[in-house]
Amino acid sequence: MSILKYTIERFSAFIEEIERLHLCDFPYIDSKIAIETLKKTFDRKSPYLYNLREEDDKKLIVDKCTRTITDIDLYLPLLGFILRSTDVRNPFEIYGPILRLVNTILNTNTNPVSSDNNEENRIHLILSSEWNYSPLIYSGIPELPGFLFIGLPVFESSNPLLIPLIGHEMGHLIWNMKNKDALSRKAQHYVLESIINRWDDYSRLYGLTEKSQLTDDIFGRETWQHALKWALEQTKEIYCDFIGLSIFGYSFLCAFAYLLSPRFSGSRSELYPNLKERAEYLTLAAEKYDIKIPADYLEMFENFSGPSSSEKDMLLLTVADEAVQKIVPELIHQVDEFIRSTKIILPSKEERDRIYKRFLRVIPAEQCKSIADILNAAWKAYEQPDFWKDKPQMANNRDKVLKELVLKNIEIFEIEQITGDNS
Amino acid sequence: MILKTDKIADLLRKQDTKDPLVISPCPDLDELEKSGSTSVDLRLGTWFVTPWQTRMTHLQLAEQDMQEKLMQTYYVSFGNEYYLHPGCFALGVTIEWLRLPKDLAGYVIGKSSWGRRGLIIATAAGVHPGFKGCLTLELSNVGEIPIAISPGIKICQLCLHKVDRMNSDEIDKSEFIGQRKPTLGKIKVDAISEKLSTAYSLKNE
Repeated sequence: MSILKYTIERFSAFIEEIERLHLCDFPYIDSKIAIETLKKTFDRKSPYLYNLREEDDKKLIVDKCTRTITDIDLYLPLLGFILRSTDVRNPFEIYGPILRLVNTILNTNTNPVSSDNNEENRIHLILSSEWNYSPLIYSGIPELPGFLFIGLPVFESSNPLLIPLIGHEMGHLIWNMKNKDALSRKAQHYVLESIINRWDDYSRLYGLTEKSQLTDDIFGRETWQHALKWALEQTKEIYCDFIGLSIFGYSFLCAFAYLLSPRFSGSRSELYPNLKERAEYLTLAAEKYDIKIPADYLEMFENFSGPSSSEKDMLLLTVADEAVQKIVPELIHQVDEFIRSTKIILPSKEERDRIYKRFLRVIPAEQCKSIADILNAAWKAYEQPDFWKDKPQMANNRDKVLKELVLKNIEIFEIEQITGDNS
Repeated sequence: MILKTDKIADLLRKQDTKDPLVISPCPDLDELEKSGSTSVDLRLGTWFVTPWQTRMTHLQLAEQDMQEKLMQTYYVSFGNEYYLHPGCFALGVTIEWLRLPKDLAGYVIGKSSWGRRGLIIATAAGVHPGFKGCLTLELSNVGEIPIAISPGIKICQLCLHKVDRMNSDEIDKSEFIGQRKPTLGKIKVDAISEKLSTAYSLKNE
């Protein structure tokens, strides 16, 4: 028996699978580019494994085999995701408009995507679906930094009403390119402020005697690093929520509630604000951005329980939550400033109402200014209980026809963009 | 009476009326008006459906299976091609979403330029008053060489004619309403055909 032989076999089979995937019938080139990039990555890694011999140092063999298996474990779900981008359940009509939107946002502000907007430097979009309820992102793949991976739960992947949630994923791309030094300093300041406000509990649990130990003592500093990490992770998620909200407006709030309310079972992740708080931050931002908040919005959400951690960790989580709460107004401002500095067209009530009137007649609207307006009109229609009540043809499949109409409208929007008919 | 293109263009300009004719994306109305023809060209959409030949022995009228069981769906993005081989049949769809008012009906016919190359389009051509949605097209290559078709090409033509104005409850209630993809639909079995189909059956019960 040989771990080297086994690993080489597995690695070779994995490479063959990547080569097979390359032959898939992808509707858009980006999936193929991702496969090619991953293939090159693994081709570069292969000599390190293939050049090993059984007689080499055992520790070296174990190390290389472990790394190889870890890589396979990391990339396998991503390959599955890319494969599912061929599935006809995906709403392929949104590819062009979303790609245009994300490139417009990023080209105007950030460097990784160059301003000449050529094919090589543009952001790539992989539109797929997830066999997880919670939409995953693969933003941590170092070989694919300019890729936006969109995957809604598989049974909802063709539902255009959930498209606004893509705004949150766009937020991750923006966050990754953002200078976060000032926010980190603020988070640290608020974490320390919160600890000092709870000094009795904190000093008892962590055995600190002086407040100065929090900053001057290496062990004292170590005690709150988790709280800072959680605060920054939560800040990121809220920032991404606000990006989605700014781009899509009212429809983002609706889509967020549709997918996440009331909550999942299971305990809370420290990396996210608790759900009710998260929704509350959204409403705070919506008020600032002059976005209508759906009626009884906050009542739709329940907080997660737990996490079932030690008293020490619970205190750190409380500290992180308090710090995040204080950062939220700054995030609202930063996102607003960022979005206004881009060339994207913000949602408009007039446009939404114009499109809604077309939907009332079961027809798409032409000359739309943004995909957000189409989606806001769609949500307005979806939420009207008497929408199409006067149309007996629609009685049994109202929501189905509405979704078809919305996707067709998005395709027409894209056709107008391609042909230059949208002026 | 079949409408001339200047009349169709005129109707398409009047979008604010209570019961408008809509073709979206709208064709170039000036061009349409000047064409002096009696039909509007429609374009090929991005979705295709083909029979799932490896899954069934034959189509049975009485078995109303789900479309997914009988047919495979394909998406072809703009800039790419769908190859229809000789003897093959596929359902396509128009890019255009139509809305017919209560006093207009239409029928879809192929374009002669395609027909002469072996591509036959739309054999079940009627479009009823009140129809809303994209039109499913029956595409068949009766020629001897494969034909490449791309989403966006002009694939068929729609002729429109006046009908006596219908009431709301009389207009098209078909299952094809409000679709953006090709739809197989169901074959309705009426009482007479059901009785006739079981008479003198040679099948052993």
